[in-house]
Amino acid sequence: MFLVLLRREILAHLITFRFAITVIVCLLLVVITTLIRIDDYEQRLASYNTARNVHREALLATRTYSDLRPKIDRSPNPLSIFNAGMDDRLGNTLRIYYTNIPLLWDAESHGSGNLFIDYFYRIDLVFIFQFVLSLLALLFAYDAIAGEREAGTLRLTMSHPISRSAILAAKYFGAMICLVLPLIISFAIALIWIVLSGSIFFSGDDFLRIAGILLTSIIYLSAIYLIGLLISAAVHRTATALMLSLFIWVVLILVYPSVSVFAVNQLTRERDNKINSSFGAIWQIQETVNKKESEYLKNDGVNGESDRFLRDNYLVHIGVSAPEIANHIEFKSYDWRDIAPESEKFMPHAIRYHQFLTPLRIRAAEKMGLVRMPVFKQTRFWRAKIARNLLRLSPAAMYDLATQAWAGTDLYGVTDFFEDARQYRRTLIDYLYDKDAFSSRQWFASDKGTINLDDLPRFVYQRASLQTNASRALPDLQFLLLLNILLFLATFSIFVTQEI
Amino acid sequence: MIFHIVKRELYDHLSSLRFALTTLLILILMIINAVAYLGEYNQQMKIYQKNVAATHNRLKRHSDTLYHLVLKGPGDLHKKPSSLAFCADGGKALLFTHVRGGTASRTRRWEGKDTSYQFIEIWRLVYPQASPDLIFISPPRSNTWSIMPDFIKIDWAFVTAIVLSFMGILFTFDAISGEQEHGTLRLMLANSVSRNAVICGKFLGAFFSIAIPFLIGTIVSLSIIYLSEAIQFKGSDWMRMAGIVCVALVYTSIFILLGLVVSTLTKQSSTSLVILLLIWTVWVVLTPNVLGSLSSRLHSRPSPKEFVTQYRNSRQDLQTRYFARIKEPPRREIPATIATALGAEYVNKDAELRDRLHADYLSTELRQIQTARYLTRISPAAVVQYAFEALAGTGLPRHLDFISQTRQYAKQFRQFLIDTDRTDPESPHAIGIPEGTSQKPVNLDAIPKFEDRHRFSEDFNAAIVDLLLLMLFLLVLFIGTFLSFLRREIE
Repeated sequence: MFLVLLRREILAHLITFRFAITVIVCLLLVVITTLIRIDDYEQRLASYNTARNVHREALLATRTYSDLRPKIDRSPNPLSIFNAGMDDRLGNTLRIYYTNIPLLWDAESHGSGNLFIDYFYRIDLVFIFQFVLSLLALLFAYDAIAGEREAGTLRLTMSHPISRSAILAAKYFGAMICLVLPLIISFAIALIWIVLSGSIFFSGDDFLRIAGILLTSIIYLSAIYLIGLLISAAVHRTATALMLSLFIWVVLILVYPSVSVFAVNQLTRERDNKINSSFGAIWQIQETVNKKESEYLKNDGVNGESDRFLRDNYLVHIGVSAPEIANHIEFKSYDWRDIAPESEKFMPHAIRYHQFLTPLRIRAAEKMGLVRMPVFKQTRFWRAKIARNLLRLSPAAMYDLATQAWAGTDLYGVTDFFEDARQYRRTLIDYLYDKDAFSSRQWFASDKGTINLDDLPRFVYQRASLQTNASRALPDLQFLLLLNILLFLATFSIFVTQEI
Repeated sequence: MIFHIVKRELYDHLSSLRFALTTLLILILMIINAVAYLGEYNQQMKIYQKNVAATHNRLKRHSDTLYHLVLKGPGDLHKKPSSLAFCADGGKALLFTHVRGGTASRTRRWEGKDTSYQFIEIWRLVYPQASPDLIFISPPRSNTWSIMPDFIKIDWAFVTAIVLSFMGILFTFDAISGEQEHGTLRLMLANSVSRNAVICGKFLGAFFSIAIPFLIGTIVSLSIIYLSEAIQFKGSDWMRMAGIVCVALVYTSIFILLGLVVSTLTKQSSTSLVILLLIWTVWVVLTPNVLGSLSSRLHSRPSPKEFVTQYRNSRQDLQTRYFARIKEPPRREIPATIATALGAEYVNKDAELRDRLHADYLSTELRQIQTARYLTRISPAAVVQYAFEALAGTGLPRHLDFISQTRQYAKQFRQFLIDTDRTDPESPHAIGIPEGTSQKPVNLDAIPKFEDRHRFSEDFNAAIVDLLLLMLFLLVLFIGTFLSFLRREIE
């Protein structure tokens, strides 16, 4: 009997006008959107490749160790076709050097994109599902119970020996099958376009991530369908049910996400006092280094050079001479290409000076990193977190966040790059220690030959592993599942206790 | 008779669930809008005034000699924030807020037989660029990466474009097909009432039941802003707001008529709703954004790298041409020597060249978004957004007006420098290099100051196309509604 009902539900949905037209519109939009996103990805990839080559060449032209400051780039994420997230929003080029712990603040952006175009809201595949397929879900749901009650067919069905839970289950599964069908077709179309484009290669893990996105989409559609079903069970007239469902649809998907983030954006201010106090702490660290430097210079046995060396009649700075309130210790690179013979007697002195000062500055930079990192978390991240948590009141936003996490284009996916960058900086400093770079002449002078960079460790940016992505998507996925269960229970209890 | 129909429709709507929900939603959005923009205008005005004062101080510092002023220019020229940003935000975070009238003071070395001379580049206008790759030749945009999730600003434009159009559909999808289903349409037409009156009554009934909550919302929003004294409105501001409200009502009418057409053409109200919802989804929500990102690809633009090469080469050409003609270093002598005149001419030509190339590039960037705006105008949601921006004095048209104002000012400033130099008898009148320019201090009050002005006529001109387009949409749908209803068979 259950199967008969299920079959009836599926057939009834499949032959409707609303199913046909919504699916056609949805598929058309999927085709267009995939094309645009693929094109966008290819442009960003080309820009990434150019930038990487330019930065590589610049690095290979480095002549001294102190001048070693590679620029590293973040590659675009191919899964941004599904959910663009923050992937093309945040900085994607970062300069690594020994006196700074890199943060999002320090990032620049490569790319030839026209930022004015950001004027338009970006559309990705997830937005199409979130918006169009959820409409279909609600259109299936609004008359599922109220409609049958009005038409009297519900009574007819109940006259058979079948439980109410079976009726409800048949309705739910029938509609879900009809919803998952266009969803899977859309994914297939998108994947076919991507494969045909030839520029994007997915690894096995990427397919699992896409499967994760698909699973999240199904759970999301089920939640939306259950919202409609609950309204349909609770309300007596189909017209009312329809009106309420559509209202909730517009509010949950279009209005609420913008309203909540907008409100947080406008009504909370960045905690300026935290930033200011961090400047104080950074200033102190810098002062300490300066003091140590001038003490060293006073007691080093060479008189009269204060913080400057005489070289070829030009005065050359060799230290943090004019301290400014900056976010990091002023970076100094040196490349003395020819040293006059009369300056040669100062060389051991210069080497000793750098040997003393450089580790000091590296340690100071690390201390500053310890000051800056929490400030960054407490000011910027704090607001973004509030906004994201407020967003979670809408299942559509939860769906968006969960799919971003699967695709690795969420905020954490992007900040992973900076974690990797910090790791790379440590590797680079270890490399300098291994080479004894601070106590070598090549730290600041290239007159006796440039440095050899053959064994310089390269930066490789790995997207987070599948497990990490899954664990980041899990909270939102759990919330969505919980919402499903709650909605189902509510619908069930209303439907069971109702008089027909 | 028509009055009775309107009355009946209105009563029907006012007591319905959809009216209650609409009113609630619009009210909430309008209150959020008002509260959110309360502090913003004041804060931006403060920043603007601070910046203007900084520019003034810089001018004071550099007015010690005329040459210094020629070298350094007028400093940053700032865009005045609009007091009506709460009506249409216009993506102001994306458009830069100032144009620099300054210089990097790089030098070019001229080498003679046994002498040399440093030419210092003089001021020009520098526009912050949209492409991040161009930071080498233009000031970078502040890289305050926003880690907020994407969102649309909740301004009047959003409420109108999304919410009001949705209401228009919701109030009319069952206007004809629903009555047909219930059989009341036949009953009504059995009376001595013309079909014209029926359709007009339906239209007006729906129109008022949307206009009332919207007007209440705007009044609430405005009174919050007005009573908190956060923004002082001028007379022209009220006119702008009246224009905005009118545009919003015209836009709502478009969707009411659309709802009526579809409702007339379909048999069942549920079919009509599905069709309307899909039209709305595609036409209002998706079209502007999909076409927007699509059209940036239609207009090609030299890559930043190509541009930088071209920029360097043109400057090098100019330098070679002039340096070949300069035989001796410029000297301070009256009248100016040939070398002095040529040197001054070179420095000026170079500034002009930089200015022109830079402005050309900016215009290719702006052309991309202009194309996007033309294309997206097939969606009335985009049209209404642009009309709002133009009337509120935000967005791209306002930005273009600002840029043209800075150009006018730059001309005025240059003319002032020339005129001041002429009054000094001790100057060789070859402006651009220290040897040829007056070294006397300049009277600060006489220097023209830049003030960004919001010009109502300019803004209104920018809105005209959009207003006409909205009227066109309205007219087409109006004719469509009448014809389809007159031809419809009533069963």
